[in-house]
Amino acid sequence: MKRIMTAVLVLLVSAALPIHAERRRAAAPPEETLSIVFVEAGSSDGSLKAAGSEAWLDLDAVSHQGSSRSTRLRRMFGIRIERAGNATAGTAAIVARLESWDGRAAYRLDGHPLTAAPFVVDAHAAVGTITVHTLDIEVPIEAAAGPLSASLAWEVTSN
Amino acid sequence: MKKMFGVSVAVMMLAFASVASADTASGTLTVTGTVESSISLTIESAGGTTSGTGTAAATSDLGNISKFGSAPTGFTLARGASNWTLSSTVGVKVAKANLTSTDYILTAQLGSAPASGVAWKLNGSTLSDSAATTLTSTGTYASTGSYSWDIVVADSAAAAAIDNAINFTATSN
Repeated sequence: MKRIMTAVLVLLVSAALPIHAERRRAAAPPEETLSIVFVEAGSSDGSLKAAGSEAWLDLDAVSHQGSSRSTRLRRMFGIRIERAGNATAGTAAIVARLESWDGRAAYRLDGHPLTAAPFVVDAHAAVGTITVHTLDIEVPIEAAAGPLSASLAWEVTSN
Repeated sequence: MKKMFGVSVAVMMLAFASVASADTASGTLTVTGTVESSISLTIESAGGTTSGTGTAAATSDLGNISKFGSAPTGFTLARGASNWTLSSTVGVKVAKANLTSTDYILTAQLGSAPASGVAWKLNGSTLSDSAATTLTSTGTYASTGSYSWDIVVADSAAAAAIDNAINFTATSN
């Protein structure tokens, strides 16, 4: 009986090893890793400065116009999920959340209110293609004048 | 025996845990800007045939006016011994955004010198094209202030167009 169990154990270990080895191969070489890249899209008003996985959206001066109770701004930008080595196969889930914000404005991504809780932007975004997203920024007229600042954290996970 | 089984189960779990792993990557989008305080002024109403109300540039057409004719739309006509007066009101609204100010100053000034023998008055004060006249120093935001508007025409004034512009300026306190 002891011998049988040893054999089972050896079989299980040997069955597990190739998967482990494969995983190591998958994790270690850089050509298999994902990355997120911001790109300009939509109006291309030049307010988006993208540098790989970091992007800066400068709204410049936000001044109220008209008689509404808030100032609304809309910016569009693209996201491309890259797999090192230019592999385009597969999909990945994109999740976004407000990492920090000063409370002067409310943010909506693709129509969905952004909060500190993660929001699934796209559950099956194709790797290698650009998906365009819309960010709406709303500043109520009651908000104090001053600098506006927010940070949106993005995460992609391969499916 | 039990220990061996436990080890094998642990190995199996390890194997499955390995299969479930996924690649992740992260990025950050930083948003910056500067919220500026502002106020806006709109003409909400005025005598005459008015267009552009609700904006900052309204136009009021009085048509042909005379001492013994009828008053233009929205005006009353009062005849004096040596002059006559058309009276109405102008509604002005000032709104604020991203501003802590509690009230504002509203002034008015004519866009050009009035025709000889014609006086333009707001709130009883005669307007000129050379200096602004204060209508209120404590205007309430977001509510329409109504100011009396009189055009006084001397009987001696020549028959001619009296066209002019009243330029309103609001300044937050």
